[in-house]
Amino acid sequence: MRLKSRYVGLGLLSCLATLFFWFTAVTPSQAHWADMAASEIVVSESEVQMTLTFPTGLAAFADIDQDGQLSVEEVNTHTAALQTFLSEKIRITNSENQPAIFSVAPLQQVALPPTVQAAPDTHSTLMLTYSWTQPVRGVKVYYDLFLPGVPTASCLTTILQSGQLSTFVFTPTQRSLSLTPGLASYTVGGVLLAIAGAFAWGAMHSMSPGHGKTVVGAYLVGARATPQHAIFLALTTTITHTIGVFALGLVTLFAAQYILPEQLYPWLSLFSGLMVAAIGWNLLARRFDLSRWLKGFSFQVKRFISIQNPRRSENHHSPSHVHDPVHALAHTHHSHTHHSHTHHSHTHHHHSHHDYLHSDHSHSPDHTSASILTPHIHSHLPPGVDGPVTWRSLLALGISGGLVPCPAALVLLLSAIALGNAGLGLVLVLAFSAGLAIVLTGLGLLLVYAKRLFKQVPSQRRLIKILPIISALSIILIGFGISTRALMQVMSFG
Amino acid sequence: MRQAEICHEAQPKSSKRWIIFGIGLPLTTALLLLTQSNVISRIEAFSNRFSNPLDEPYRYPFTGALTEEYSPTALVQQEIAFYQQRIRQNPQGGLERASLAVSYLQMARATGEGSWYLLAEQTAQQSLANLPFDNVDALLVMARVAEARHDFAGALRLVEQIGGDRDAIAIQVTANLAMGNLSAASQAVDELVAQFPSINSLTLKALVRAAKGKDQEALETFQQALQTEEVGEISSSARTRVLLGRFHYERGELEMAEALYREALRISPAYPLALINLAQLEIRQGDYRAADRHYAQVTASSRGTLRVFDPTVLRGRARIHQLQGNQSKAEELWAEAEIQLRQSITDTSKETVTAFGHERDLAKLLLERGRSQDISEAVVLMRSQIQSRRDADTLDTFAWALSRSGEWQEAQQAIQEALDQGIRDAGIYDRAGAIEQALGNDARAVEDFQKVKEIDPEFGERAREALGLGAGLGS
Repeated sequence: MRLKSRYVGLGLLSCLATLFFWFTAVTPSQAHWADMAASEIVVSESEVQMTLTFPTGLAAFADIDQDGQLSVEEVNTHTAALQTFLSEKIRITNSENQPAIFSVAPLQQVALPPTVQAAPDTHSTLMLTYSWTQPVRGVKVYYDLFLPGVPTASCLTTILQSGQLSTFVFTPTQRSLSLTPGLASYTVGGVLLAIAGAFAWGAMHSMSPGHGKTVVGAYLVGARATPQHAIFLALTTTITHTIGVFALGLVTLFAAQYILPEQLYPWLSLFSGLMVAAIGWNLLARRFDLSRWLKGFSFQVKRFISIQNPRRSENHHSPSHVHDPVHALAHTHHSHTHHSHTHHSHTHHHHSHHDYLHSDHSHSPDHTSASILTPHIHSHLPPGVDGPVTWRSLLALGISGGLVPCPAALVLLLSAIALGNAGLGLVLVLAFSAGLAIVLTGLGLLLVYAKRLFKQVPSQRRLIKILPIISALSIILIGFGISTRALMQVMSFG
Repeated sequence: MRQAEICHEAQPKSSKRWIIFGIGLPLTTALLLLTQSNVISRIEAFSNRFSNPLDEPYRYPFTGALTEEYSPTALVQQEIAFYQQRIRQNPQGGLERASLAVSYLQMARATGEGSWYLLAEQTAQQSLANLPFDNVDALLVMARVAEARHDFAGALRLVEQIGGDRDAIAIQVTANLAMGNLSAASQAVDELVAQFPSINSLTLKALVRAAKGKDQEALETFQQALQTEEVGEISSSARTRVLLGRFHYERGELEMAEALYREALRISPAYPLALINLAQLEIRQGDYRAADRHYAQVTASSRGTLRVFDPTVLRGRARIHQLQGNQSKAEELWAEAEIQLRQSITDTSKETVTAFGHERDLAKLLLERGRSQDISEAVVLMRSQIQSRRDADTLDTFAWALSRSGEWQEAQQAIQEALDQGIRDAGIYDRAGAIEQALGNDARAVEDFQKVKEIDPEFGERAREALGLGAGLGS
């Protein structure tokens, strides 16, 4: 006991002596000696090891021969004093604020031959070990080994934890660091903060490329979508995404030795891309029936020829709209110049060949000026083109958008699992996905409401009548783009 | 009229639907593009295809290979983690430690944070302790750290033990260049290029040629360097363009210099070397706000630890405030830079090399701040610095300090030694002219001033205001 108190007393005395030395020898503006320290921290189950390289002057009391470096003998001689000094300056506690069993050891270093020494030694390296009797779920580091009065003093630290490396710089204004091998060790406030952080991260991350924003946007603008559709689409994307993260996380955990997750991504991307392309094709097929269009085109050609030859023209204009069954998409109305059409929302019951109602069909004023050479195509579109959005197509689109999980969300989950708290990992992924959902929903609603505003704007119909087709083609292109990229990745793995 | 009104009112609903696509689609596309986090870089990349003033080989040819998430440190960090784990399994191993030391050195270069040099050196020393023989990597790390400390003699001593290694020869080039031994540097660089022609070795050769005043050869070698660049050499590609940009800047070709700096930033966004040189260029052009913005970009990436280029940024910002008439703010920034520089200079009283010997930078700060009480210290610092470093820039700073203290004869000798190396630098000739003028040698002064105009026809007061704020090899 007496021995221990003697060592403590000696340690304190040494600290005071060191501090006195620095306060008298150094003034902030004339400091000529770099206070540069660096450390390597390795976190294991119940132990933290720190390899600390620091200016020897900070522990000058142990540098008996004043050669600027603490030798093994000097460290062994002053172990207790160094322990007392360093335990004050660098404190590491576990999540319950319990101090560790602390020990200091010299690094077994052989003196270098003079030929390989470029400069005199100014720093010393010690091995500090902090251990607990129980496994720790989180540690807090408090570092205060700075040259007094030097604001730019710092200690660069590398932290190796669960095979991952991070770096941190301790400075006089940034003296503490929390390492979280067990996220459960967070307080309630800490958990809430982590959830909020994951939510914000998800929201911000959704702004980055991907996440089906383009496809969703193209669809919602192109289709007759309602706010409910936008919300449904965003939620489907998010739920699929969350399930995808969980699934891939589980695959990674249980089958890591057989399947590399990075090899799964391209396949998922390929599947997703093909699905998007299929949806686009479906839209295109519904908006723009190719076979009918071709027939419609031939019909127009025939009509044009018949107009050129009036004797063959028998159907010059018919107010009753006797439509040839073949021109479902593009039928022509010639010579509407002698009367005005004001028939709003008239139902085309005569279109018995169509399995839908033209509930919104109307004739534009173009009917009054349509020329023979520019035959007017007006909208008798199948459902889903300008028509109603089907929940089924939305579901498919939402699934394709969220099928490929973000690596960021996967990292979040796997890190939490690796750190021994899978539950919190799941919660964080959910929060991340919620952030994603908010942004996607907001974007979808914005598009839907913005679209309604555009309806008020006068139109140049002739210029924009092909745009639904462009919209569908865009979706196909996006799908092919995703697929091609995925295919290239698959091939590169192969 | 009535008919027209009816027509207007009777606008069919189907046409309205088309409007959605006519305006909605482009608007949506714009909205979606704007919500991408990388929108600015995408726009820049797109516009760059049409507006890039650079032709081959100055234009970076591997734009498609540039990734948005490029981080020069991410891969190195993975390497560090790997080697740290290996060392835990085999603490007595020397090779793993040497590889770890190399990774630390790479981090030092990528971040500019001096603490990585410390880690690199300690790890290399431990590696050499475990494996004293044939440990080339550890010796090279020690040599590079010595070079970073401006202990050029120490660096040369270390590489002498290695032999014909590529990095060892490269250290011989840079160390001799800094010491003013241009013939030795030239010999080493020729050997290096002959054995290992690459963007790095050719860039070094161009720098040696420029230091000897062989501008045409330097330019051609820079071009060769760019022609040999390969797809993964992001840092080298950016660095070579910055150094070539400086070459053009110092010859008054500001447009070319700016284009090259910006190309370097396109290759490596937020590249400090490019930003600092671009800020200098903006100061010379009088656009202080833009210069300050570039400096702010460099500062933004700081993590609180001292980086080698931080004092230059502070000096640059101080210069801006001084030029804008805000002397108190300038003083504040100079004081901050002074603290940093004093921490990183050699302890002259002990005649040891203990830190990153930036006496020259501190002397420059003391001189540009203009306080009479600082001049004697600047002279002392430079007398110390020229013991280990005698490149043209160092000799020029020495001459500046001497001329400020009224030691004109010695100043003349120092500046003449700089010019004798053959360098074509308008700033140095301008100072030489001023010194000759002060000594009453008007004819020689006129000659020197003519030389200034010959090298940099645009050289004037603005150029003087931006002097000494560049960054690159050796400065």
